[in-house]
Parts: sequence; structure tokens; C-alpha cells
Amino acid sequence: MTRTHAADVAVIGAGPAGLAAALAARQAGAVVTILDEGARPGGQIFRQLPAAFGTIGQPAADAPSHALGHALLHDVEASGVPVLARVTVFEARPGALAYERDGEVGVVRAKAIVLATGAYDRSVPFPGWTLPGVVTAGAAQVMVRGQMLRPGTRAVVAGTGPLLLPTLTALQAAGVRVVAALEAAPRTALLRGVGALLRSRAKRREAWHYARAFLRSGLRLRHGWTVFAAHGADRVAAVTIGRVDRTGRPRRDHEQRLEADLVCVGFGLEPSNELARRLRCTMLRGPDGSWVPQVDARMATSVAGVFAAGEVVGIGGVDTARAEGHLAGLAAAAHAGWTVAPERFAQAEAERVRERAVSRTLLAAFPVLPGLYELAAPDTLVCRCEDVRLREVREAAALFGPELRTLKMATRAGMGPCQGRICASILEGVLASRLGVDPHRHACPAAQVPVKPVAARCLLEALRELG
Amino acid sequence: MSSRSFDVVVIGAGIVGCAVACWCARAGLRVLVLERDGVATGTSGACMGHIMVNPEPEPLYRLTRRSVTLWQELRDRHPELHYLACGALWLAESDADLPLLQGLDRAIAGHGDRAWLLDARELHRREPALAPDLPGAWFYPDDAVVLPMQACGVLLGEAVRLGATVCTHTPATGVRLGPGSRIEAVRTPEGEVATAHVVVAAGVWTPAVHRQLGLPPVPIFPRRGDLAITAPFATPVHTQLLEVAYLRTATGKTIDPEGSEPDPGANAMNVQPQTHGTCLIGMTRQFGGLDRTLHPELLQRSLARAARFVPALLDAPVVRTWAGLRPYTKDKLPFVGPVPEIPGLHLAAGHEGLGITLAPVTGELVAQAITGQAPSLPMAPLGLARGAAGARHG
Ligand SMILES: Cc1cc2nc3c(=O)[nH]c(=O)nc-3n(C[C@H](O)[C@H](O)[C@H](O)COP(=O)(O)OP(=O)(O)OC[C@H]3O[C@@H](n4cnc5c(N)ncnc54)[C@H](O)[C@@H]3O)c2cc1C
Ligand SMILES: Cc1cc2nc3c(=O)[nH]c(=O)nc-3n(C[C@H](O)[C@H](O)[C@H](O)COP(=O)(O)OP(=O)(O)OC[C@H]3O[C@@H](n4cnc5c(N)ncnc54)[C@H](O)[C@@H]3O)c2cc1C
Repeated sequence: MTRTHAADVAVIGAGPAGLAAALAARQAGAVVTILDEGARPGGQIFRQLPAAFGTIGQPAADAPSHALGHALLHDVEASGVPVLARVTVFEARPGALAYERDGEVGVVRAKAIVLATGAYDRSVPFPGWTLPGVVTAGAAQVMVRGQMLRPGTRAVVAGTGPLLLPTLTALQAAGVRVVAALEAAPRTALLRGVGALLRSRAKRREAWHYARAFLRSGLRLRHGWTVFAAHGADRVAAVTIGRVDRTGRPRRDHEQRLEADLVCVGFGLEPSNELARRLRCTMLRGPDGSWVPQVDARMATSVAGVFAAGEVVGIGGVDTARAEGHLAGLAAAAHAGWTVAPERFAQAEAERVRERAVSRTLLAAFPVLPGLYELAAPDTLVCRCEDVRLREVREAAALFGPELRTLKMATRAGMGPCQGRICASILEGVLASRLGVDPHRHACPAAQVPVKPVAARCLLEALRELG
Repeated sequence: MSSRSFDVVVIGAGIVGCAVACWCARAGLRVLVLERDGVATGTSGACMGHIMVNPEPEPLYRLTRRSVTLWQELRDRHPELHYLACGALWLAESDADLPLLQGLDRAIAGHGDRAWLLDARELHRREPALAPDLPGAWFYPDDAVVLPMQACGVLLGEAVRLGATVCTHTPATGVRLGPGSRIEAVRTPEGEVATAHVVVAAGVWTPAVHRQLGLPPVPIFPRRGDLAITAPFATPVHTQLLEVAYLRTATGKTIDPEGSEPDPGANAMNVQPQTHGTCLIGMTRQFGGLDRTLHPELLQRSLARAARFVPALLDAPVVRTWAGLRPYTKDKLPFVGPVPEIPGLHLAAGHEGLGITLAPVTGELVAQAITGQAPSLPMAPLGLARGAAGARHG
């Protein structure tokens, strides 16, 4: 039997944005339900150990943001808002959504929906990037902070942006020896980034926390360097690193080969926007080129009753996520008929504007460097699900023109289980760097039910329930 | 479009336009393909890939049989073509369906072609995943499955290597006619292209293209189909499967696409294994204009129907669903060949649920007409005139 829940506000995602939204809506009087894929609430940053590990205790909540996270989690628990954990929302319509959990389907009917679905690591392909032992910064943090696993012994960490530091700290805390820490952006980006950080008190504290840990570690962050290739027969054994120019384009004159069994790559984040696309929210390109739902001053998307907050409306970090979640929660409660005092809105709106401005500067300081897409060799995979190589994409583009949809059809890139989550930005990136195709000519891809793969029986049941 | 003059301009780069371009290029013609969007972004990018011989009626048998032979030649010529020579099983759901199987077998025998009737035991030996109570099936060995979009690429790729030009994101916006209403040029937003022949291969958009270009009306009606695709998994089936009762719905009460009553829609079981381990699940049919929005209720019915025949499908992970528009004609035959009122104008549209199957034979017939060769099959049943008569009378 399908489980059906009714709520005023359904919040998808239990990261800082979702938790703050749920709390704000609850405090305004609304009946709220939170849904999240993870085993425990917390999202990317306040990652908790699975309950089964409870006896060993939680990882130390060392960074200031983690303390904030635990406070939020505590408040949500105290508020009595139910958190449906380990559920994958695979369909949403205005007013209703369907989820899967252990092969069972549930339906939530809600007057308002808050999308707080966060983000995932952006992948940039290079030779060997699909070898076991190459992991994203996010995956490394999941292993270390979420499962208390040590992903390797000798690591090369490469990427761009402020998330490299927490990744380094987490790896070192887990006893991994970091043999090289590579920031692709030039040092000037760091300076601009620091400028942005200094404008936010919370970010200042967070940055200081990680900077101190980093300085203590004795590691040096090499600017304008990145990973060129990972080598190994069945897993990573060595890594070639090298210098890149200001646009990220590899310069082949300084290559070095290092022994390592772990490569952590973090080239920024991409919003998890599939539910927003599925709901047919109007989508815009964010400052980093990714597709985000358009929101108004109170986080309402173009679809009535659908709100969005946090990374899904633009990569911005934990403080922005929390501020936006809070505002979206108030707005969703108001949409569901609860009264929210104008002062509360005014305050929440002001805070959101302030936080978003900081995030935007930070995002602009670490843009996706277009030249990095030149790292891929002709036989490097660009779509892992369907085993499509760069060469095939170039051949198809030469025959049919560089249009994403057509390339997808000709090569099957983007047709597999990830439905383009990983490879859509890769394709845009290689088309731009190799063929000079303006990424802005590509339209936002449509999303259909199910937004994440689900057994046919679940799809069938959800369609029967939702009509 | 460096050259401004071509022998043939093909409007539309779906499977039919790609095949027409391929056969015209093989005939040595200078070909330009105009596509207002991207290659295979219309119906050919939203369908299944059953290469299917239809035992009846006679003209359709001849067309589909000839086209399957041409597909087999394409497979031999292009090793990169994903061609799954899996044959098709037409399944009976109960004993009441068995006469339909025998009817198919008689029809195919009448053409001197070969196929097999399978009893329950033979059927389950061939496809163990089928529901145990199914009483039998009819197996046609020469049917196959292609990946339609990849097939578009193979056909168009051959045309391009033979010198054809493809302009995507370039719609045909008009034609210039000379004395005797003869085709002289095609207009596009980038300018005019001189040509003696225009082939309209715009699928469900053919009536709109004709309207815009001031050409005779063509009675083609969009008939939506909803689909689901699974991720690769231990494929529970190896053969193209369809339920034989589909013949009954196909020949039963026909819905008038121009009627005022809304079409409630129909569905039947169609499960298609693909070369790389995924499985397509169809099939629904509903008239409802050019809207490509998925119909959840019909899709749900077709998933349930698929599970009736292949219970293991219930556990297959579905990665995506979507809908496509079949270009339907009232007598279920496409319009292929010259339009006599406008010398130089050719139609290649209206293939309903058989466009992938029929693309090669369509390409062959159009190229023969343009080069003045004798057609490999009779063209009269495919002319626009019979369509116009049909439209007047019903
Ligand atoms: C590796 C990594 C390290 C980071 N380190 C820091 C740091 O040190 N400092 C900092 O300020 N920021 C850091 N961030 C960024 C920080 O995690 C985010 O800013 C913050 O978590 C964003 O909050 P959010 O609520 O928008 O999204 P998230 O925290 O990502 O939460 C989104 C939640 O939605 C759930 N979800 C998504 N789709 C579905 C679905 N269909 N069904 C059910 N649930 C779904 C996910 O499971 C997830 O739990 C890091 C991010 C990553 C990836
Ligand atoms: C759900 C479903 C399942 C199917 N399964 C099968 C099957 O298993 N086997 C089979 O044989 N057939 C099948 N079909 C049928 C088959 O898909 C169609 O018959 C076939 O794709 C039609 O191809 P086409 O080239 O005529 O049309 P399309 O692929 O629609 O191409 C027409 C093109 O014309 C372009 N165009 C329109 N206007 C202009 C203009 N003014 N200028 C330039 N270009 C223009 C369009 O953009 C479009 O790309 C199925 C169809 C559906 C919907």
C-alpha cells in the first residue's frame, strides 16, 4: 500500500537550507515534513554517522559551521518535525511528490514544496579519471566524515575553490598523507576570494578555522597547478601533475609524476536541479554557468507553491543556504495560509540578500576554468554511464553540428542512469574548449519522471497515485 | 551552405529525411538537408526501434519486407550500426488469441515467407521470463531492433561522406515556383537555395510545412505514444515482444483524428530489448495534437500491461520516460513520391508507427523517382491523391 502523508509544507533536502526552512515554517505554525536521501539528516556539511554507528559517537564538530549544523539539527529534532530519511524523491508536481524507500512508494501532498536539494561535485575529465582511487572531494568527505573510512594512504588533492581546504583537513584528520595540494586558479583568485570571505563574519571564522588547520599541517597549496592524468592498471598508482594558465589550459612544460593511491578532485559544485526542472520552474544560468531555478525576493520559483533555497539556487555555502532556507520556510508557510509578520520577512530578506552577495563574489573568484576541459585525451571517457569517449563526441559534432541534444542522440552521452547530472557540464565544457561552442547556446535540458532511477513497480504505483 | 545550388533539398532530418539523403547521395545527387532544429530531435528521437515486417495488408507487407532487406544491407555495410537481429514474438495472452497467431502465419506463408508458431513450452524455452500462463506465440525471425537516433546518424553520416550538406537550426521557410508550378528554389532564413527537387520529410509537421510553403494539404495527424526506458540490467528478455491482440485494437473501432470527441487513448504490450542491455517499454496511442507532454495514466497502463507478460520487468530500474508523436495517416500507409501538381515536389512522410522500419525503402523510392528510375515497388498506394480522396470521403 502506498503511504500517504499530508503537510502544509514539504521540504526536500535536510541540509542547512532544508533544516532552516523546516524550522521557520514550523515556527510559523505550519505542519512540515522533511525528506532526504541520506541515512541521517544534515546534508553535505553536517554529515552524521549512520545511526548504527551511534555507539562510537559522532565525528568531532570542529569547524564553526559544524557547530551551527548541530544546533540546527538539534532544533529540528526538538521541534518535532518528522524527517523521512533514506527516501529518494523521484517525482514532484505542484502540491504533491512521490518518493521511494526500500522499494516502497510514498506520496506527500503538501500546499507548498521547498526544494533544498543542494549540490554535487562537478567533474572535469582527465586521462585516468575513472580509475578506482580517483574520488571527488565530496565522496572523500562522505567516506571520512560520514562513514569514518580512510579512502587511501598517499593523496593528491586537486581542484578549485574554497572547498579544497575542508577536504584537505578531513583527509589529514583521517591519517591520509597528502603529497600535493593543487589549486588550479591563480593566486589572484585566492585574494579575491579572501576579500569576499572577510565581508562575512561567519565565513571569516570558518576560513580562519581551516586556514589555521592548513597552516599547521605544513602543506603548501600550489596555485596554477592541477592533476593532468592518473595512472595505474586497475587502480591509481601514480599521478601526473602540471601547471595550467589563467584559463585552466594545461601547460605541458612542468609535468611531474608522483606516486599516490588516491586522487581527490573538487572542481566546484553543480546544483541538484532535476526536481526544479521536472516541476518546470523557469531556469536561469547562474554566475558559474549552471542552471538554477529563478526565484523572487522570497525564494518563490516561477511555479506557484514551489520554493527553492540553498545550493540549488546557486552555489553559496552553508550560511547562504541557512539564510535562504529560513526565508523560503517563512514564504512556504505563508503560502500555506499561516501568518508571518512583515518584520520577520523583512529581516529574513535582508539577511538573505547579504549572504547571497558574499557567495556570489566567492563564486565569481573561482569560476569554472574553461581550459581545464583540454585535459581530456581523445580516448578519455566523457560519459561514464554510456562509455562515450571524447573522440566520439568530436566526430559526431563534426557530422551533425555541436548541439547537445543531437550529440546525446548520436553518441548516447547523457542517456544513462545519471541522466546528464555528471556529463552535461562536461559536454558543454569540451564543446566550448575544443570547438569554441558558446555554452550559452545550449538550452536547459528537460527532466522527466522519474528524476532518479526507480524500479518500474514504484513508477507505476506513483503514477497511479498522482494521476 | 557554401554552394547555393543543389539537386535535392530534403526538409527534415528525422530518420526519413536521413534515409532520403542517404539514397539520393548514393544516386550521385547533390543533396542539402535542412533541419529547423537538431538531427533526430523530432519523432525519430523519441521512439522505439523495432524493424518490423507487417504480414498484412499486402502493400504494407511488401514495403516492410523490402525495407528490412535494406536494413540488413545497411548492417553489413556499417558495422557500427547497433543492429540487434533478435526477431519478434507476437504473444497470445489466452487461447482466445490463438486464431490471431494462425492468421498471421497463414498471411506470411501466403507471401512465401517463413515464420514459426510456438506452443507454450517452446515459447517459455525461448523466453523464460515470460508469464507462465501464456499459451503461445508467433515468431518472425527477420525482425530486428536498432537504436533510432544512432541509426539516423549512420544514415546521415553515409550521406555526408558522399558529399551531402546538412544545415541544422535552419528551417525551410518558403519555396519559389517557376513556370508550370515547377520547383525552382527553397527559402531559408539564410537565403535562397536553387534546386529542382524538394523532399518534404517533416513527419507530423508536414501539414504545417506545406501550409507555410503554400503547397497542397497533406492529411497527417499526430498520434502520441508514451515510453519508458530501463537502465541496463540482466535483460529478462532477448526478443522484441508485442501482444498479438494489438492487431485487434488496430483493426477495431478506428478513432477519427479530426472528430470532435477526445480520444481516450489505447495501449498494448510492447517490450523492446536493446543492444546495450536497456529495455524500452511501450506502447500507447492517443490523438491529441502536437503536444508532446507525457500522459501518466496511459504510461501507467502500459507499464502494468508489460508486467502482465514479463513480470520481472517490475523490478527493472526505469531511468526516463517521454512521449513522441507518430505521423498517422487514415489508411496507415505513408505518403511517398512525387506530388503531380508541383513538379519537383516529393513527399516522404506519414509513416505512423513504422517510420524507422520504412525509412530505407522510402529513401530508395524517392531517389528512384528523382533519378527517373523504375520504382522497386508499386507507388500508387503511396500517392497523395489517394490520401486526398480519403480525406474527402471520411
Ligand atoms: C565536499 C563538500 C564539502 C563542503 N565543505 C564546506 C565547508 O567546509 N564549509 C562550507 O561553508 N560549505 C561547505 N560545503 C558546502 C555546503 O555543504 C553547502 O553549502 C551546504 O551543505 C548547502 O546546503 P544545502 O542545504 O543547500 O544542500 P545540502 O547540504 O547538499 O543538502 C541537500 C540534501 O538534499 C538531499 N536531496 C537531494 N535530492 C534529493 C531527492 N531527490 N530526494 C531526497 N533527498 C534529496 C540530499 O541527500 C542532501 O542531503 C561543502 C560541500 C561539499 C559537497
Ligand atoms: C512511441 C513511439 C514508438 C515508435 N516505435 C517505432 C518502432 O518500434 N518501429 C518503427 O519503425 N517506428 C516506430 N515509431 C514511428 C517512428 O518513430 C516515426 O514514424 C518516425 O520517427 C518518423 O520519422 P520522420 O523522419 O518522418 O519524422 P521526424 O523524426 O519527426 O522528423 C521530422 C523533422 O522535420 C523537422 N522539421 C519540421 N519542420 C521543418 C521545417 N520547416 N524545416 C526544416 N525542418 C523541419 C523536424 O524538426 C523534425 O526533425 C514509433 C513512434 C513513437 C512515437
